[in-house]
Amino acid sequence: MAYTGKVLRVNLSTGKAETEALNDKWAKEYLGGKGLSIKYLYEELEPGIDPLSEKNKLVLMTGPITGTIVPNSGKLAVAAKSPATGTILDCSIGGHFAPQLKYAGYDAVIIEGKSNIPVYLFIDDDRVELRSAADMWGKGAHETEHMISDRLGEVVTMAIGQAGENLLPMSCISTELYRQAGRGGIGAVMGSKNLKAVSVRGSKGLKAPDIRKLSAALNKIKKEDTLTEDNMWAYSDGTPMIVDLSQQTGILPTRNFQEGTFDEFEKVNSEAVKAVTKAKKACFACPLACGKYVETGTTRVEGPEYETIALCSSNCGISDLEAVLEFNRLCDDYCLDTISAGNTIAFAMEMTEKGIHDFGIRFGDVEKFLQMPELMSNKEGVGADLSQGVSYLADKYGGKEFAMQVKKLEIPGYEARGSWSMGLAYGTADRGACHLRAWPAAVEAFGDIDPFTIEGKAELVIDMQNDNSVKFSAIFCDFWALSTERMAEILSLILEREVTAEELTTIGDRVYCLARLFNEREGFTRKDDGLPERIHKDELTTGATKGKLLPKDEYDKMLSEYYKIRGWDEDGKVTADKKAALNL
Amino acid sequence: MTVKLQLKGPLKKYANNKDLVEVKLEATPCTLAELLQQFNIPASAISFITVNEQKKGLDAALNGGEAIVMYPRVAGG
Repeated sequence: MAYTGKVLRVNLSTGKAETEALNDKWAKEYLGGKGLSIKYLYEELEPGIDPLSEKNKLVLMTGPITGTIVPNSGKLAVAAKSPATGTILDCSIGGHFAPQLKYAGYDAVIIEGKSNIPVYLFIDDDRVELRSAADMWGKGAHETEHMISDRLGEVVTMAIGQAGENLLPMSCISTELYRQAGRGGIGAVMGSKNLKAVSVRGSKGLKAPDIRKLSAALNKIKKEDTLTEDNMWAYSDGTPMIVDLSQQTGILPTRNFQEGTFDEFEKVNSEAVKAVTKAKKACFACPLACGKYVETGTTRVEGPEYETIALCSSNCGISDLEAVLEFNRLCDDYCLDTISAGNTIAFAMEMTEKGIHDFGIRFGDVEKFLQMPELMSNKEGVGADLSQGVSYLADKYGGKEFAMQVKKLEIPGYEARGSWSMGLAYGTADRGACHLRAWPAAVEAFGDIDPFTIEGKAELVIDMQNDNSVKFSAIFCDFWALSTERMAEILSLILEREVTAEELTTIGDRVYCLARLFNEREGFTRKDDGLPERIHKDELTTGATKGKLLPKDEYDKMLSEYYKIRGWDEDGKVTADKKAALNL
Repeated sequence: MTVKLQLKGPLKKYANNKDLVEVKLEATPCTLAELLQQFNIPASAISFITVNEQKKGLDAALNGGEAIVMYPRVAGG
């Protein structure tokens, strides 16, 4: 039940599709999802390849709980070498693609090579076909999904828009219109392969050896641990709830991270979004249903998520909710990552206002703001530069000290000066600045732990990274607040052997260290784990974080402690002893 | 003595879905923990609480007149 035992390997250069056995040993050591996709890529990719060349591979990986009746088990890992950062890149996408892939009989799809012409891949149980996507090329992901559904009937599709076709380092992959594998330019990997979409339909299902026992156990867990006080925020409000928490604690990125509070936050917070919410949407097997269909004026979209609000509203000085929703819709259709897009536009706004370079857009300029998704995705006018991300802009025009990125990936929606462990989480995230590898703001800025000290932070971030590595490998949705012990209990049921929390922590550590080894092989060292100068030098000026920064010497101490606890050397390299301990 | 209590997001259900209520304290001083009990709000549902815009622990004392905001627990990011 946990694994189908089959991997589908599709070579776009030759047009061949073959199945092979899943590597059982690796599945035991890395579970699935994030961990197993990174293992395949580590073993199969040559070091130093161009991520946009045909040598890169795109891995779609399910996990052992995928497609089962385990709650919140509908996610898929999508992995490759990142076009944005050159690091390992794994994204997580919701909806219903992952269970359909499992029902079609596959744990994973590995896509290699490059097609001569635009194609889409159709997986219909054992039937695997590459079909022409010539008439879809140049169209958005939304129209592409509709065109494919018109032709194939009931299928689940992951597609790219123009941003992916044009190889943008901030292009994403979309499914069910509004769910994304968002970061690191994963959409450009598909674009570079002339792969417009992947559609799947599965009819084989999964069989539990004892469905009564499994069902009874999971019903108990669902009652005790899913629809609880810890999780109800996802149902009642979804991620926009976080706007108020970030505002109050002074970590809401505002005007390119110049401030940590936004005077007009109440125009874009959860209450404002709820006022225009028309319906809810859930991913596969999810009782939390965090998705919201909203409608205002002429715009209809599922969203916006907190990250979109933080980066595209407060960080761009835009308080017009309708404009944010329309921007969200455009990004989803073109397949632009709203975190990187919002961060980059905000940088251009500051550059313009400071007179360093005139990008023709200033904070709060709604009209220009709404032109950006199209200009960036099609690389037209000022969008040609902006489409390459904040690091590119800083290299070309200056402003490096306030280019808010780590490893060329734009920083998401939590201000590190008001949550020091978030700074460490960004610095040590395997794919560049990311809040999903560890999200210590929840217990620090939003919790009881002092945000302005380095004490205990290295251990906190490591524990969270290990836990999340397990979550993203199993694959549980990140919005389910479940303990390692609970994950072990569920995996014991699904894998039909005793799985302990200790074993899972070791797997999490192994996954994280393998990602580090991948990056190490690509030349990444301690020097790449630093934060933008603004975080160390510019004091915030408003709210709970007024006067705060994260001093560089404190950050360096925290980073050294992190390496030591991880079993990495002072330069951030995984030591021989650590490799041996984790069987790496 | 009374305090103004604002409940965010899912916490509103503990006050009949009102987001702002005037609360009469049963005794003064009273702690935030006791205020939670008065509304049957489990501590596990809370991220943090502010009293007059300042984050405070559950042992913080209330003497009346304060503006209290309770923020719900969130996960994921």
